[in-house]
Amino acid sequence: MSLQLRNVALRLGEQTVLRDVSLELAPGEVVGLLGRNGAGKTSLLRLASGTWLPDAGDVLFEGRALSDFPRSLLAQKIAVVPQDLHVPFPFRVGEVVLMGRGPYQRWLGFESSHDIECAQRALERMGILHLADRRIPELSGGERQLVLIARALAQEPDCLLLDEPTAFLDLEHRIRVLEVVRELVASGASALLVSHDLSLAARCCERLLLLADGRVAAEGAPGEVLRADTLRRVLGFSATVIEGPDGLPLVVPELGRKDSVERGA
Amino acid sequence: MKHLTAGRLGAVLLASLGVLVVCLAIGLVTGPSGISPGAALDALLHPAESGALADIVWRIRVPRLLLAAGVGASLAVAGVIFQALLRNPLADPFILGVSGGAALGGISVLVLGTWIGVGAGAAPLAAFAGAIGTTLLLYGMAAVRGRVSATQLLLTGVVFNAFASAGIVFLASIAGLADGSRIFLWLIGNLSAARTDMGIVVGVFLVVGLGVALSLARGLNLLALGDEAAAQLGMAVERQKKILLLATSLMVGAAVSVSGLVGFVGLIVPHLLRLVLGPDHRLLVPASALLGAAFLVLCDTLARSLLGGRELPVGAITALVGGPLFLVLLRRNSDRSFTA
Amino acid sequence: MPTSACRNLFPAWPAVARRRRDFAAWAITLISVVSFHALEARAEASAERVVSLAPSLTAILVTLGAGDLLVGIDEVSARQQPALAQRVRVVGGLFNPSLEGVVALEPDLVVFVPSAEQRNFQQRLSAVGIATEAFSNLRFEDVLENIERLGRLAGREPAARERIDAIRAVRAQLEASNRAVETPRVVMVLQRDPLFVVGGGSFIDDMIAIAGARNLAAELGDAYPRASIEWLVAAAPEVLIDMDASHEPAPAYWGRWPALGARGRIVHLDPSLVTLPGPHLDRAMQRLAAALHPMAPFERGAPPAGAR
Repeated sequence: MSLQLRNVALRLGEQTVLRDVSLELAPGEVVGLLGRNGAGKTSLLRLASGTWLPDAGDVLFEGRALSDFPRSLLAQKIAVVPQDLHVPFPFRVGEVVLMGRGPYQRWLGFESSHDIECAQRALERMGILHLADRRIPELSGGERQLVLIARALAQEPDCLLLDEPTAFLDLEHRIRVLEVVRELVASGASALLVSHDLSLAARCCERLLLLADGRVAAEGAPGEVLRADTLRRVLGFSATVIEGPDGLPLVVPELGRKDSVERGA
Repeated sequence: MKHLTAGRLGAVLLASLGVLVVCLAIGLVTGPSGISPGAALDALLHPAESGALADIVWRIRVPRLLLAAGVGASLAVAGVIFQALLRNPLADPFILGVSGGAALGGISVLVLGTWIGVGAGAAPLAAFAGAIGTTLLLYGMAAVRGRVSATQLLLTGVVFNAFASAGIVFLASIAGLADGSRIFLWLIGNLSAARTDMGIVVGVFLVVGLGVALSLARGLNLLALGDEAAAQLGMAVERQKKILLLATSLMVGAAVSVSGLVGFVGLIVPHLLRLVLGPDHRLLVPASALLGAAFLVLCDTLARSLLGGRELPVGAITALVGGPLFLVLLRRNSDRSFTA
Repeated sequence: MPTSACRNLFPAWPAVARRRRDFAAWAITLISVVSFHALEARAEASAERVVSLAPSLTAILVTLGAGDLLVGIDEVSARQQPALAQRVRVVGGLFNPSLEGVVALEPDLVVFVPSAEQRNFQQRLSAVGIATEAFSNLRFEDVLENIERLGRLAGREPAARERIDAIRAVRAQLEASNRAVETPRVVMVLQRDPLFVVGGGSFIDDMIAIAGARNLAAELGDAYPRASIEWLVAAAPEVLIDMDASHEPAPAYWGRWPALGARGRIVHLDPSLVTLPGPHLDRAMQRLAAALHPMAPFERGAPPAGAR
């Protein structure tokens, strides 16, 4: 098992954000994490990356608690793609992607030719090699997301945690991102993907995990989780779920039927 | 793809060092006594000589140049570190109240020292204490869930600054006349009291602080992405931030204790350099040290020669030079800039 | 007493305060002239309840035997006249006298030195109908005039005349004996760090000339300028008179720049002896002359040390 969360709970102030959530990621597997805004998806990702510690439960990587890993070693194993990139200083795209090599560097850390190669390959895979010398503040939101994914790829991780990596992207780039994730997983890594694009998630992920109010509301293969009644109960909208030509579910939202929606527990 | 190489770092350091040497040379041959540059250089080459010329070069100008260089480098490096820690290019030891805390500590001893039985010699120690105390207070006040948020740090700094200013004004009010003039010079920033032992104190803390900043320069780059991203990219964020804050407050305390509140160095030098060199801290930290030193050497040379035998406080020069320059740069670069 | 040198001297206050004074000088002079004329009539009769806001004026009044007229003094006066301070009220510092404290004493005259801060205070006193008299004490002749005016206001004219005559006598004697000796080049240090010296156009500068020396700092163009140490070393004074009140001995401090001691003499002088523009300028001149010309024989009759 590459990444394991066992019965984790998390409180922020008075509020319980996650309770009794368990999740396992096997090598070669992509798990999709779905849920409404504020369901606890990003918090779960923070626990999975060791950024925050859970108030209860365990988070293990390859059987070892995350808190036992030195930070740099952990960053060689687990890479995170956050929702957006805000830099107060005008770093170049290439510089930010090279920071993905940080866990492998020591002291002043001049980049080795291998580091450069990794960063270049990552840029190439995201199709943004031509942006390498541009300044981050000059980029569009979608371009910044591609940079963040390239940075995570440059980390050469065993486990990739992506927080809505395709939110600002056009369809072409969404597909490219998911293809890259599949490629990475095919070589033995694992991935956890937070997404609001249900149909796309169904095509990228082996399993889906539906989070509601800090609990696991549904879990299983895309066909088992993406059902009209579950969507209405947990995500709060009406949709028709049909089977696509690839045999995977397609979610077709129904507009104008909000009145019939009641919020799930 | 552009990236930092040892060659580029070397070239930048060499160029910065060149600028510093030129500024030191200008400072060495300039002064109110009007000795010729040739005579000044000659006196520099013969340290064993005695007489007014040797005194002026070896016992007045050289200690003062070295002190200005040390203070300038300390303040510039402290500015770089605070800007990275707070992810705000306008952060600075003054905005955070660390300089104010150091000044409050030093001035407390200047004013109250005779009552509590310590001499004015304890002022530098009290300034360290003030700087470290302020940093600890900031940390204590701003810590949330064991982490420090930049917003809270800045806000706490603003409030502490108001407190420190009030304390300084209060002490100045109860101080006598002569102490009043000393406090005035502290508040505006002044290097006229330069002595070799001061230079040594500043130098020691500069070496420590610069060493820390250089060894954690990559971490400063990561911190610019945010604490969370820095942690996810393998940085032991909390520990390194504490080390950086401690090193920085030591540098600021040392600088303030010998020169008072010299403003703008920590703000203007890193800014200028970021425009020229980009934001990579592996370049920015050493270049800021060298050019911060050069900047203050030049400003202090102006301060001590502009009015002939009469002294100007160097803080007035840095503010007069730095303020407008800063505004011009901000304006000129607003189109392709980083609105943070 | 520490730092008394500078406490006696308003002008050693930082540059900014002085700038402000220069800037407003002509306007304020105009106001003062007008108010002096208005007060002339009231001041004819001798005052009975006097508040003094300057140590030099307090000292003159006490010396003229008019100390019993005083009902209020400033903090620095109080420190210099402890006996008097037992009896009268202290109404605040030189730069922050308390308006309420002064008014409560119901004085018929408030005497002060027209510094920037006290001018403002004068206007507020006048606004509540209290008579004030300004006494500039920048130059030597100003001080003599102050003694005369205070004598008149306090009804002690004979004592004032006697004091002025004594001062003029010592002046004439010194000027006569000076012709025989050469005039050394001198710098008088009021405070070491930050370095303040006696510049041109002050009563101390006048006394330097009377005592037969040339004040090198006159070229700095201010009565009490802040000087740079480099200027001092380059000026190479033959006599450096150090009046700083700090504990560090003069030789240790000035030894940092050996050329100063090698080229000239360094003399420490108790600032209370010469920096007060008060009633004993005769003694001050003798002190100064003794420091400037240790070999000259004109100290006849002057006590050897510390007479106050």
